Amino acid sequence: MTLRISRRGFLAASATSIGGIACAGPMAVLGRTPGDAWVAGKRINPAIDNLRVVHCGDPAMLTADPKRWDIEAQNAPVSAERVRANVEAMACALAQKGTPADAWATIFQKPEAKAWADVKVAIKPNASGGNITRVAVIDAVLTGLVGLGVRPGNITLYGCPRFVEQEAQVYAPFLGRGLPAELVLSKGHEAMGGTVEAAVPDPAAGRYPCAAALADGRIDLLVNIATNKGHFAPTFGGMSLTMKNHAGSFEMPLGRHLSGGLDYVIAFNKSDAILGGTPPRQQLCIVDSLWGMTSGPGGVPNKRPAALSMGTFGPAVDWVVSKHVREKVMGCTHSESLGSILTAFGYAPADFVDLGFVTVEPA
Amino acid sequence: MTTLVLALGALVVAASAAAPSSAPPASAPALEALRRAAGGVAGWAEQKDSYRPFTPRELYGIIDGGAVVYEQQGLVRGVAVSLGNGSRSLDLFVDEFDTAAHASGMVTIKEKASAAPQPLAAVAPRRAVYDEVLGGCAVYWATGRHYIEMIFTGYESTEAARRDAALFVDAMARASGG
Repeated sequence: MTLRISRRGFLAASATSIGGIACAGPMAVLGRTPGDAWVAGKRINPAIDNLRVVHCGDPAMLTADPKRWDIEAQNAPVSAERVRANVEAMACALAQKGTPADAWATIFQKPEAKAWADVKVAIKPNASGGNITRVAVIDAVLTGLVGLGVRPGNITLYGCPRFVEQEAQVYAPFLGRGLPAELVLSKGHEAMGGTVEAAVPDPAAGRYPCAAALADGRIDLLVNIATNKGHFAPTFGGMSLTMKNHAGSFEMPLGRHLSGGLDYVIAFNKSDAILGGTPPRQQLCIVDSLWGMTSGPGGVPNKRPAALSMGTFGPAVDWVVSKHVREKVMGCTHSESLGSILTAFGYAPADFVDLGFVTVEPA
Repeated sequence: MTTLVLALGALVVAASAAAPSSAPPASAPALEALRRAAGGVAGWAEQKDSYRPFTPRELYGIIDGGAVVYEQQGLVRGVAVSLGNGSRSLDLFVDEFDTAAHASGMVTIKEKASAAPQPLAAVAPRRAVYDEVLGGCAVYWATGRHYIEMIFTGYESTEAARRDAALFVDAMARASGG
């Protein structure tokens, strides 16, 4: 697929989506474990192939590299206008629509009985360590949501309850200065109704601590905006992108860092809390690779991909970012076990028939 | 990465198996001596309220999930502190392990996980490695039972960060008698 997108006369986008049709047929409901919201072949969005992942690499999104990696320093060199233009172009490519408004109206779905003004949205950034989801990326998505009629006061940024004073709270200086003043910044899970035990299906079936508003369905729409990090604990396949970002939505037991970590990550990404609801709760996954980390999760970035990647289905987004950004651009290597993030959902690496980039260039 | 994962897994397992049951108790004064030595490097000062001692479980609350690898490797306790020198910053972790071999093993683990680790030649023959980050470098080294992780940022060049790193390694190694 190739799209040409003109926007405000200064951007031209040639877009190549990653095409592939899931071949897995409907899977028997019998035998599914409690909390399982995933059925092979399930479409996150009826208008968008799960495997379509769009990508934008554009050095002009950054004016410099930060010398320090506190929240202010790593947002100062980001061109918010450029990021927004690119995110909107990517949304158009993802939804195969000609305008950002039409694109967001396709990407985001609401429960039939609700008006957009009543829709409750949660956003999970990666806000731990020295590589934190950039404000401009979050705000570009918020602009799309607010344009549909979502009230900023109905949008909550949340993070891991172990880091109550960090995570979403790091964005406090940007309220009214890059982010809507009414945006809710949860202390851990506090504004998400606290933490409750929620069912996680196979391959790590059990009940685990989870943000209550995800577990009980109070959140209608979930957006996952991760950063690009490696993970030096061997059990995660070597990276932390959108799927691992939900360690924070769900608590990550200590032992899972030594064994079974990827199984647990796959399991909570199939859960009712993440993919349950009608329409499915998690509707958009983005990896902010403006700067990236070969290793991690601690430390600070060592690479500048100057890139963003977007799709509706986390495993597809993570797979493409692992191959196209982390391996090709950043020189990373990953465990062969990483393929399980696809096979566990009924897909295979071979389903990605055209691993192309969306490139957005100045006109 | 498969090789790395296997190697890391084997290292952790081997290290755990080798851990003596009668490991000497943690020595907080030694940690404090290393901290003071870092604070004594000319031009650098601890940043207010940045000092944070931690147990293995408390490290999980500082650096998140990767902490469990430190614990498995034999971490006994540690301190985290940030230092500043004008626009330059240092995030310093001094971790005390149960044995010197395990502290050194932690360097190996971090070296294997690094993008392009290089010896910090200025401090030879001590074993210290650095890895370039944007705006500075990360340094991993050990002295006795202490594993030390330093992230220098705020630099115009990696070379300048490496020079400062060598000063810290020298000062802290002297303080530890290494």
